[in-house]
Amino acid sequence: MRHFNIIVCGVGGTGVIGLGELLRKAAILEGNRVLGTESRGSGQRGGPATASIRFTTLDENEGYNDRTTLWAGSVGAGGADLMIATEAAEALRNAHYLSENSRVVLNTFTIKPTQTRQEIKAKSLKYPSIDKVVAMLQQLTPHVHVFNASEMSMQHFGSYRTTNPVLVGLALARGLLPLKKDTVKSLLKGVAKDALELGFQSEVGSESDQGSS
Amino acid sequence: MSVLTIREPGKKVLATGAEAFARGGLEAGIGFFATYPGTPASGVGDSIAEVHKELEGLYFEYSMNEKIATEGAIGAAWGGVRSMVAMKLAGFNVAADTLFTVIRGEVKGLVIVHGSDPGQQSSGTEQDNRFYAPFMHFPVLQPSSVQEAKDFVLKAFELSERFIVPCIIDAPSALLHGSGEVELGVLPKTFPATGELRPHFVKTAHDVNLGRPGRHKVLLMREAEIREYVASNDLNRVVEGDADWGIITCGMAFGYTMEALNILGIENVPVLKLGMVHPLSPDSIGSFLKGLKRVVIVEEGEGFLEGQIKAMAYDLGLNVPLVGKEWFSPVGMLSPSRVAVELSKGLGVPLSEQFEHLPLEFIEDTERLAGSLAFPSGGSIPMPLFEAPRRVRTFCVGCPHRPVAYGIKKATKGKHVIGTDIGCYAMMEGPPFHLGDFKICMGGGIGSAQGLSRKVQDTPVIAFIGDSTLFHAGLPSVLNAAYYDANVLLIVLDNRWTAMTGHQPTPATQETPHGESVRHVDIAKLLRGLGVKWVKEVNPFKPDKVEALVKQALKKPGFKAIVTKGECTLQKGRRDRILKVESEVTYQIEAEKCKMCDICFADFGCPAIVLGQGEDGSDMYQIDPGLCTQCGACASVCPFDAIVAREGQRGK
Repeated sequence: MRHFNIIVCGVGGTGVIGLGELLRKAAILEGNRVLGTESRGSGQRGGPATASIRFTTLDENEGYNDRTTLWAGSVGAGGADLMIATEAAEALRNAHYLSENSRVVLNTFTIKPTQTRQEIKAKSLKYPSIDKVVAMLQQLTPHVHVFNASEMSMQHFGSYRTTNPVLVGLALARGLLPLKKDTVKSLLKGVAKDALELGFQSEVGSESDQGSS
Repeated sequence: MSVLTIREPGKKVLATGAEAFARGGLEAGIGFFATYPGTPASGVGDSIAEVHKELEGLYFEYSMNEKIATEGAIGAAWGGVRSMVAMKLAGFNVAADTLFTVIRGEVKGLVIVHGSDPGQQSSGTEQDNRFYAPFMHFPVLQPSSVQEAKDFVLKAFELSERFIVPCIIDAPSALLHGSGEVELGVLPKTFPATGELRPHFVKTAHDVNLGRPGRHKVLLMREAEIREYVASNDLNRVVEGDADWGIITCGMAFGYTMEALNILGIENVPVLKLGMVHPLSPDSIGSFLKGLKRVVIVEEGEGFLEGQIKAMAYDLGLNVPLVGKEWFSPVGMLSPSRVAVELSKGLGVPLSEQFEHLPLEFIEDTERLAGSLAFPSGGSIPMPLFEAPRRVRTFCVGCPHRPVAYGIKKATKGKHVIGTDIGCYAMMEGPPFHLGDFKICMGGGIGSAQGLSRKVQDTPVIAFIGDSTLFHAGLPSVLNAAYYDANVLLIVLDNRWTAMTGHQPTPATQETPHGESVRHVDIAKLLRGLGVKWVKEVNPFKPDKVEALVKQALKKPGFKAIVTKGECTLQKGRRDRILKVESEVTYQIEAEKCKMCDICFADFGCPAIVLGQGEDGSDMYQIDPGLCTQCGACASVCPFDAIVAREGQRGK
């Protein structure tokens, strides 16, 4: 019995919930037992948003039992095998899900929070640079993968709306996501299929960084 | 295809908890479903709304409030069909009047899915409504998984019919919003379009509403019968183990406990999982407690099981130490990590290395406080690892409420008392507007504003309410305020949808996302009909007009109302995408006119206005074309006319 835990994080509006649904559907299509959950309500309006995907792959002739199966939809602290951050600084907010074995897929897209007059005056908003975000994440895990998926999406499809399929394609090509590209693709429609391919083809052949789980 | 309509018994599908409850109702052959949307329970009704036209015979409605939904379901049950309602915890309070009263009559075939919200991800309180059960005398089930969410609905109908009592299923946000596998059962071909009047029930209900105490006795007898029934039923089960201590748990806490035991490497502790948490069977509880040296009770919310079990142990003469809320705080959600941490502390066993790099308080606080972000004024999550930029939720780009808030703020300059209400507009409480001095429950803003205005005469009082909340609980208060002419300015923020809970239609909805016109209520006319003499409408995307109108209104004595009429931008955007409508203009900030005065960025605060860099590398405000919805409100906010509309689409 192998469990795989994914945390998707970003800001409401960056497709976090949709990406969670996509990955859960792909995992169940491949015969895994799937669980998950997502933040609702606050995340929809520019607040931090998360989605989790947990799945269990059984070995042959293996069954489930109450004591070893997964029950919760949420990923535990330090329990993420993979983090996908659709917005860079949100990876920091959710760093407690990471351990030294976690893989991180970091999109360089940033959404800077709105500021009040006092905050502008005091210059109190500290939005870290991507380099700094990466350096901080690397204190926890060496497996940080940085992609410009939003830029690629805008460049090729004229919109940010296809960012997440690009991101998933990139992650698949680096072996970070234990799912098949065709499974994910079968769940996408129209231009999102092309976006997945774009991401995949741009990294295919690069060194795999598959997790142990 | 929706999981609700798949006709392949035995097939395993992925479903959310909300969908599983709805599917359970359909498999049970319901003829009536009503709901008022409220997160976390909205998804149950929404998933039925999506498909109910394909389900012949099933009546579905978004009722005006939970009381009406419940009363409708009771009526349908008297009409001889199984009926079901779903509501959030706060909505249960609204329905409670009906439920307390009708319980003294005879209702069967009625199941209520009750959305609870440990951690307050989307609610004003964490109230543990299981405590209604001991004095309403109804059974309460708590499923532990998405599969059980579906299965328990069928069990709940059996119970309701067998014992002639409404049956409640507790559905926490983690279950409703969670996804998991469900093995489907048989879906009926059609649903009961008509039933047979149960005259006996209707008659009995009428009689006992006059208050015969004999009814109370009947309910207690039924409760005793249910206690016996549950001892012989499979609603409760034991995960066997040979340790000398045990755990009793229920609902989502069962799964969290099993994962926590796995994390801690504890393999032999017996676990009693209660599917029915009220009434409890002393036989089941007693036989589990017997012989154990200590029993830990793990439940979310208050110590509901704990209190009952401690009383039972006393009555049974069992002197086993019982521990519950002493270890597991009633505040917030539980999770496998939290249960593991508390068990590790309480039992004195080491935690696994998974947590080594994290301070324990962090795991507790983070997970417990996860919900506090839902409220703009709420607490902050401690970030001992890395600091992430503060992010408060705010109005969406293009939201009609933002320019309204801006206009009101300019008009009042903070010199007014504002009662706000439940809906997206509550985000006015947060930065940059900080509008809203009090907020209670649905309709509570206008209700309290009128009393306040009687005693605070030198400070004008304003009340906000949205269209859906107005229909839900605002109308009697508006009538009251108008009839007694309270000196209050009512501002109805009509965005035509129950937006915050996922865009369910309201009587103010004019057009579906597919562009079909629907019958709707004119709110200004409605207010006039209720006796409000001064009612004005305004386009919310013109904040200067809002400001002028608010100033004008505040000069008028007595009760008066402004209706801001602007559709929720998300729904409008959805329709524009479906109908392929593209804006003919784009908005830009002209660098040479912009004085970096911060008004559009900080005071107006639209997330589409961002701090970018000009050609010379200096800071300048820009409108992100990928985010902007072309509402145009910011243009009238700029004192230097630097925000201008340009013809031409935004190239996508």
